[in-house]
Order: sequence, then C-alpha cells, then structure tokens
Amino acid sequence: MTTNSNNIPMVRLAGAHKRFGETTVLEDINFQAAKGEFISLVGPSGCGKSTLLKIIAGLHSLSEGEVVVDGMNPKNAREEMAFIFQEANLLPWKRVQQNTELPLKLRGESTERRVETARKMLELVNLSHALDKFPWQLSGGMRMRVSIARALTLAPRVLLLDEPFGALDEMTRDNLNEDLLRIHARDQWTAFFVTHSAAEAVFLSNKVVVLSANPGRISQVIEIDLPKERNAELREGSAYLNYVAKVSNAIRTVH
Amino acid sequence: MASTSKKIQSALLPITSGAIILAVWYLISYWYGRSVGYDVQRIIIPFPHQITSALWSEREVLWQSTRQTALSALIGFVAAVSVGYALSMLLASAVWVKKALYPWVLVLQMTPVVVLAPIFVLWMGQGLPSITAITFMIGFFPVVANTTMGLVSTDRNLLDLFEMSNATKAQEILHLRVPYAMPYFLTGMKIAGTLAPIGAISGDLFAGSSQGGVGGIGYMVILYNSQLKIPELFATALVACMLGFVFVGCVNWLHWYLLKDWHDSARKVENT
Ligand SMILES: Nc1ncnc2c1ncn2[C@@H]1O[C@H](COP(=O)(O)OP(=O)(O)OP(=O)(O)O)[C@@H](O)[C@H]1O
Ligand SMILES: [Mg+2]
Repeated sequence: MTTNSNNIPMVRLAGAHKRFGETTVLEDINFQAAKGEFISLVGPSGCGKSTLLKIIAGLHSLSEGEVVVDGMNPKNAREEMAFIFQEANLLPWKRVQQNTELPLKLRGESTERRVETARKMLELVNLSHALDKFPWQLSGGMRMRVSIARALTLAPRVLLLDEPFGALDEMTRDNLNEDLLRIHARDQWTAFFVTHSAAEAVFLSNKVVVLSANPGRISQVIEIDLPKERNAELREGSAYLNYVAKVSNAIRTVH
Repeated sequence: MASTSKKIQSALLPITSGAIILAVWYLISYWYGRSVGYDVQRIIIPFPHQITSALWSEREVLWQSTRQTALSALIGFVAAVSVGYALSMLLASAVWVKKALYPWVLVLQMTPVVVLAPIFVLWMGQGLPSITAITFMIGFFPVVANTTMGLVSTDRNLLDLFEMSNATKAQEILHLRVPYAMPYFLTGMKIAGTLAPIGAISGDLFAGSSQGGVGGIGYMVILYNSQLKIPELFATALVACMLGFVFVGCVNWLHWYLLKDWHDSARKVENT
C-alpha cells in the first residue's frame, strides 16, 4: 500500500481545469500518484469524479493544464491503462470468455494468447466455472468480476475504477474489495478508485482525495496509514474506524 | 400434469371461440338467405362451407396466385431489408450524412405508395418489377428508421471501452455498433415482414397482370369480384391470411433465432 521507492509519478495532474461550455467542472487540480498507489476519489455527486477519471484515461481532454500518464499524453498511454465502469459494461451478445478477451482481440493479439490470458484472469476472480455464460445469466457481482478480469487481461499499470461496486450489496462489495486488494498486492498497478463509500475508500486506499463541488477542487487529501495487509478483521479495528469517521466527516463538510 | 391440462385449456379456448364465430356466421348467412333468397345470400355472405368448397375447386389457381404473390413479397422484402440496412449504415456513418439524407428518406416515406404505384407501372409496366417495387417501398422505411436508430444509439460506456482499447473505426462498427443495433434492425425487419405480403397484394391491385399464367392474389381479388365469384373472393382472403401468417411466422422465427441467446425480447429464463 505504501508509496513505491520509484519516485517518478505514474499519473500527474498539474493546474488541470476542465470546462464543459461555460461551466467549470474541475478547477486547478494538482495531484500525482506514484507507482502502486491506491487512490480513492470521494466527493458529492456531480463534483467531477468521473470526469477526472476520463481525463486521466484520455477520454476527455483538459481545457487548461496538464495530465501525464507514465511520462506520456494519456492517449498514448492507453496500452498501459484499463477502465472499469460503474456498470459492468459487458457486451450482452458475448459469453464471459469472449467478453474477457475483447480488449486483447481489439489489440490484435493471437487467439492462443487471448484465450489463455482471459482464462487466467477469470480464474483469478473465481469465475472459471462461468466461461460459457452470457452476461444476463450472471449476478451483478459476477458481472463486475468479469469486468475486472477483462481489465486485468491488459496487465495495466494504471487502473481506473468508476464506482465499480456502487450497485452491489455490502457483502458482495466487501468480498470484491478484498479480491481487488489481493490482486493489487500481486500486480502493483496504480489505482484511481471513485466511490461514495467512506468505508470502502479507507479499506482500499493509501490516499483518499476529497473533492468539493461547483467547481470540483481538491479539498483534502487524507493519507491512510494502515498496515499493508488488509483483511476483514481490519474493519473492526479502531484505527480503521477512525479513518472512516474522518473521511465521512470530510465528505460531509464539503457539501 | 398441471402444465398439460393448462396447455389443453389454452388450446381449447381459441377452438371454442372459433366454433362460436362459425356458428354465428352460419346464423347470419341463414337469416339473410331466408329474407332475401339464397342466390343473393351466396354473393353477399356465403356460408363457410361454400367458401371452403370454392377454395377446393379453385385450389390450383389460388395456389399459383399465392406463389406469385409470395415471390413478389419475398423479393420486395429482401430488397427492403438489404437496401434499408445499407442505407442505415451510410446514414449512421457521419452526422452530416444523416443531416443531408434523412429528410429525403422521410419525404419518400411520407409520399403514399398508392400515389407512387401508377408511376411505377408507367416506368416498369404491369407485372413483377412494379409489384416488387411497391412492396419494397412499403417495407423499406421501417428498416431504415429502426436500424439507424440502433446504430447511432450505442451505449456511451461501451464506446468508451472500445476507445480505451484503441479500437479502429472498423472494429467499432463490426464488433460494437452492428451487433448493438441488431435488435433494432430485427424489429424493423419484423415490421417489413408484416407489411410485405400486404405490399405485394396491394401492388397486384395496381400492377397485377395474368401474363404467362395467373395473376397474384390481388389480381384474383379484382377478377373474382368483377365476376361476382364471391365465395371465391372469401377463399382468396383466407389464402392471403395464411400467406401472411407463414411470412410473419418465418420472420418472427428469424428474429427469435438471432436474439435468443442474449436479448431480453427473445430469451427465456434458463434452468441451469
Ligand atoms: N459530456 C459532458 N458534457 C457536459 N457536461 C458534462 C459532461 N459530462 C459531465 N458533465 C457535467 O460535469 C459535472 C461532473 O460530472 P461527473 O460525471 O464527473 O460527476 P461525478 O462526480 O462523477 O458525479 P457522480 O458521483 O454522480 O457520478 C456534472 O455537472 C455534469 O453535468
Ligand atoms: Mg460519476
């Protein structure tokens, strides 16, 4: 969970502004994330969290300022990034296996590598038994797992997650959070994770960025100084609960 | 088993109502025949058995007409679907293309086919080409409207997903837009399929001819009507109705078959 010795930032935003027409959505965002950091973004609805992720992904361009991903313009760094959307965002006409292979297929990987990588990632998210199912045959949590597996096939160095578990029940969400941390410990991507849940943000991150609304600015960055190894027990500890209270409070005061 | 008795019940209901309708029909025909004479009754409200015997005695002619009409309907339908699909791809390819062309597609649609029909006959003469063109005109627009809608309304998030994978425009069309638009296209196809036999029969009314054998169903309608062969006219209606059922049945099956795996409109809950 701690910052890597590598000091070159994986993602850097400097004086970033984003306007849609007349309205300023993001104002003067300055932030950087080192390799392996897990950053959560919290803030009121409409404050620009999704917009910020899309800017890092190169899906939106900045009105002013700079965004750099691994030393590159985001559009050129696409190969190193994966985006996980709020809804699982699967192709309904493709089975789990083909859905997972999709990004590799679009990149022109060989069938053999595609199939193998997808299998491996689906195994990682415990879905080996569902390769031939269509998305509608899966539960919401399973669909999200496919979406995670699909993102992981790209071996991303930056993972962008936009409220991926917002629509799931708490149990499923907790389980997926633990899965995510397990995989993160293994692969050490840099994560930007948008959520509305203070508890989730604290459990996952080493930093929680609190945004204020209208325009969206960084109001506070809370470092989460909890042990690297995190599991269900952590959720009962007072250190964790204190952080949750602190983040909840920070979210409330920006409203 | 409960489900079997349910099935019998649901089959029994339309049979019973059919029998009632037949009985009422007989009653009315009988009552009418009693008051004006059975010669007049025969050419106003024939008894159902008079219709079926007309159907039997005219079976060869009607079979030929049906085949002719089915052929026009099929050609017109296939043309409407394929040209409609191609045009939709063109319309969806860029915003300016749609802006430039769609109004004219609408103009074409708003012009009633009954007005265009004589023009087609003027250009292509009586017979199959004109009839097919009329069928085409009727089925074409639903395909274009629905497919274009499907092609341009692709889910924003899915498009973002493709962009994140650096997908080319061709990949986006092939792997995303086209399959995404499939249910829309098939809905258009279904409407076109429902209209095709109607189109072919109306086409017959304007452009039907009996050159080289018998005419289509619409032609027979005119012929029987002018000869006061009314039971035969009713029999023709019966045949047209059956043709419609077969046509729509095939198209609906195709719709179901292509979507059964994944789309809400076609799938059934699986018990695995
Ligand atoms: N493509 C767009 N064009 C114009 N305005 C947009 C666009 N996308 C977002 N906005 C505006 O930008 C603001 C921020 O939107 P954004 O989706 O980033 O909020 P958010 O923080 O993710 O909210 P939520 O928590 O509800 O998902 C909103 O006011 C929204 O209306
Ligand atoms: Mg959002």
